[in-house]
Amino acid sequence: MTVVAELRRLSVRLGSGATAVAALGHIDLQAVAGEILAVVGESGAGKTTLARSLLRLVQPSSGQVLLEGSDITTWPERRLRKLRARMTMVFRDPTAVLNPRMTVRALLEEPFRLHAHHTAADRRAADRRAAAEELAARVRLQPGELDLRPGALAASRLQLVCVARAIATQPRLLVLDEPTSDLDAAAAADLLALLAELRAGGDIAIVLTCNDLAAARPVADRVAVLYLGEIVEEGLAAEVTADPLHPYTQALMSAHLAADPARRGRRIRLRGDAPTPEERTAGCGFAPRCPIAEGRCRSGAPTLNAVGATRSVACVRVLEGTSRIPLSR
Amino acid sequence: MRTHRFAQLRLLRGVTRRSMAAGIGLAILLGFAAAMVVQPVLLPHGAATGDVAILAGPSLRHPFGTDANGHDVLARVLHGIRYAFAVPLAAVLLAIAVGVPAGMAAGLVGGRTDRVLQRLFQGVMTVPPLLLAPALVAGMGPSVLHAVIALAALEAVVFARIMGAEVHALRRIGFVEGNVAMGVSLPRLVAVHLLPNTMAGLAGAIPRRVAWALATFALIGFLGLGPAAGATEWGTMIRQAMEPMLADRWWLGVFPAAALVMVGFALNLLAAGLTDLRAARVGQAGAVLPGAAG
Amino acid sequence: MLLDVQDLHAERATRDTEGRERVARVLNGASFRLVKGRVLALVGEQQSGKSLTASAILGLLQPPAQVVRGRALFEGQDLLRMSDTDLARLRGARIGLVVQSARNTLDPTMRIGTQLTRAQGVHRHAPRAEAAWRAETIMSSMGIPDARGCAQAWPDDLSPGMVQRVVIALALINEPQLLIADEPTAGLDITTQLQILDLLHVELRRRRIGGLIITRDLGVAAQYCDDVAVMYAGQVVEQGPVAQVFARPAHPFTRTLLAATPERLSLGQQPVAEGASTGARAQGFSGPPPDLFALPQGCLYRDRCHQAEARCDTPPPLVGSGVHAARCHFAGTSAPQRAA
Repeated sequence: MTVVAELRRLSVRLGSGATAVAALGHIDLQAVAGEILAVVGESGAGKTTLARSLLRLVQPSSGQVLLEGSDITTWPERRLRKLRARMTMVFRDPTAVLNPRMTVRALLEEPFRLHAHHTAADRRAADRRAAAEELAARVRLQPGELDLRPGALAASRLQLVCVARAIATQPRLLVLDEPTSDLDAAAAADLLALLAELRAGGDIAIVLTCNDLAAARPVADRVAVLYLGEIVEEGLAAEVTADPLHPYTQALMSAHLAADPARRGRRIRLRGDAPTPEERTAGCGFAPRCPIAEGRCRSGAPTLNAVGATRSVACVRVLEGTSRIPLSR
Repeated sequence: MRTHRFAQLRLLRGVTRRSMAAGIGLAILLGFAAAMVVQPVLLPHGAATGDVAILAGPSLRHPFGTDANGHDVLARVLHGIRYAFAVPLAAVLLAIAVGVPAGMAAGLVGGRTDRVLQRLFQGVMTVPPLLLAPALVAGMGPSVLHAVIALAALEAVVFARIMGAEVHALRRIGFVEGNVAMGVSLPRLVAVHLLPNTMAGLAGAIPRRVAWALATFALIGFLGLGPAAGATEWGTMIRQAMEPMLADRWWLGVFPAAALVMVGFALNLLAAGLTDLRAARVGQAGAVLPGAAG
Repeated sequence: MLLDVQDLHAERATRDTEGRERVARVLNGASFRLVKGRVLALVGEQQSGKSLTASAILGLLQPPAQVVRGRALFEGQDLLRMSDTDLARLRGARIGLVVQSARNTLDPTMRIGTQLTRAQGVHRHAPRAEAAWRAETIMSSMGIPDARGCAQAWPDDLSPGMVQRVVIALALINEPQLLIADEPTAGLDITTQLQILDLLHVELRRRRIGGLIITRDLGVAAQYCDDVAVMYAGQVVEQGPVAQVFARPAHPFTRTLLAATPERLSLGQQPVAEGASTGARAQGFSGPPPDLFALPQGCLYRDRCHQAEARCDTPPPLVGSGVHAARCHFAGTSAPQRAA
């Protein structure tokens, strides 16, 4: 099991001065080669901050960020730039990161141009062109789309361009921040299938953030559930989705709308909206919305404890085996 | 010379098709440019012509009349076009050379430095520039060069602010971060990704800034802080026309003033028309980033 | 029959970069029926014409888009042939509309309570006290905890979930017979989405009115709707009761959409078999979206369909039993399921 990237006791505060908020608190996370890790959470959970932290696009306030064994926590950008071929990211909104004045072809050639020393593709323009075309074929972009500019393509096609750019340099770490949230179901399925193909290669560690746990199940190997900047449950995807232990994880699984009318059942219904970091209360962050919260939940914050060989949960009731929520109609 | 003029005409027709306002503005400016080129040949100014009439009113022979030295006012006004074009353009170009990098740097650095700089820019801009510019020139000593410097300094602040806002918008949507994550170096980020996508916003501001520079330069000349007294700069000419003894020789001041108004008007028309031109181009190569200014 | 949309066609004219005029065929025969007391889901991809259908029906299409053919019968009257004033009287009163990006419908300079009372005043004579009371009542029934406090609040103060509730309240406050909700939960967290959909469901059932929910999410259709109409390239390609369409999808596009859902998608650990050429690899679920400026002859889905044949260049007939029908040459035959 090769650990490609790691976060150790990572905390991130965003903003400055009086308005700073704790976006992430004491995160321990490992991205393993040949594995897809899904980090699941709703708005305000810190998924995007976590994704950016893996790529050192944010400065952590404490803890460490490691890539292939090196501690890159305090590296300045110019030093990090040499690593950018090895760790890449796909953002949620493809229309926001692609230069609208460049053709798709130029956009696909760009990673080869930037990292010529790193990839097999030569500095020669013809080789770059061939490499870009090969990349386009790999993500199933059509040849006719190569000479268009982003304004002429739909979001799902643009997201393929972004994924292509991210895998051009054969990175060891690929991070995707809610890559399918704004895509149609069919395009999302294709993107997930592409990730599965990449995983099969064995060298790359993939970290994917999303807001629907059940939607990640087809492609994820491991899952980490995030709430208000902390991991509340972590384990193998198949196990966590089949038997969620943390009340929030249970609520997430229950909130997924299955595309199967035969499965209309009982659900866990939470009250209120997902909180923002500013609204965090003392004790367990989830307590205000938790259907089975008790007094002790508000006084002490729970720690992430191992439950069995492959699971960790941060809930006092889990250790007692009383964390399963009764479903309501 | 012929091909030159045809090229200009073709440009004019292309622009007018997309925006009437821009077309008219551009036509007027091209007209002035042509006049400036043609004047030394057709209406040399300053040459003694023998039959010299002093302070004569407008007539067929001297459509704009003559001044106290017997010089044809039309010739002087046309000669003055070079000031009207050269000085504001030079000031704006210099301002862009200084202000755009400053604004870009402030926008990219972000954080407190950027906030401080933005406050600074705002502060400078609240002082009425029509007071500040002449004051600066007076401080440096009256001359055309100092006028250019003073104007450039004030205009640079405006461009820095515009640039800062554009870079901010791009940062906010994640465009900068996306490219940094790709490993784009700072020079490439600026040259390939930021400048081309912010130029539209800048270019749109240029005609108005040139118009402002022209008006302020005329004011500087009018206050006697510009070129030397006999120069054909329009502001200076108006100042001379204001001498009590020349009060009823209206043609001495009105024609330079009219020229000023015409050029300013043309520039503003061009500015208004540019937004139309840009609207016509959205959806093509020059598509705009979502949420980004410009 | 509350709403009967028949063969709706719409076009949008644009000028391309060389100044030539081009026409996009944005709706190409959208037809569906909505019965009072039932909820119909209109599903499809982005740009498939779902929202446009709603705009077209309500007379909200802006030039250069326009309806070129079709009827939209609401309570027997053709909405497409009504005058603007009559339509304006219907909208907000007998037909309630919840649009996408709901926050934009709220006036940021007006308090919530005022907006709710104004919405009433437009359509009926409502004395202030009564209107205010109605506003508060409906906000409570929307699950807004402090209705009085919320009435005094500004739109910017509200969380996305609260905004959505207010917008739904605005749509329902004049007791419409039909509620059209366009992507009512787009952008919301899934736990909030559940609350909002529960709310919609309860209100629609309680008031016994008809509902049209436009969504990209098949899960919403499966869990909250009675009937579903699937759109592709501006055309309804399959319609029927949810249970039937999900169990026995007749159109290849519906089958593809279903196969792409997490419940059916299987992307295990096994490596993908490398074919000798790209043709041997699985074709994928999606493809480039249909070019509305140059739609194919015959079946509009043929460029993306795995089963397309020669006969697909003639327009496919509507095949099926009364309630469940699909527009496909192969519907009704047992076509092989696409390998995932």
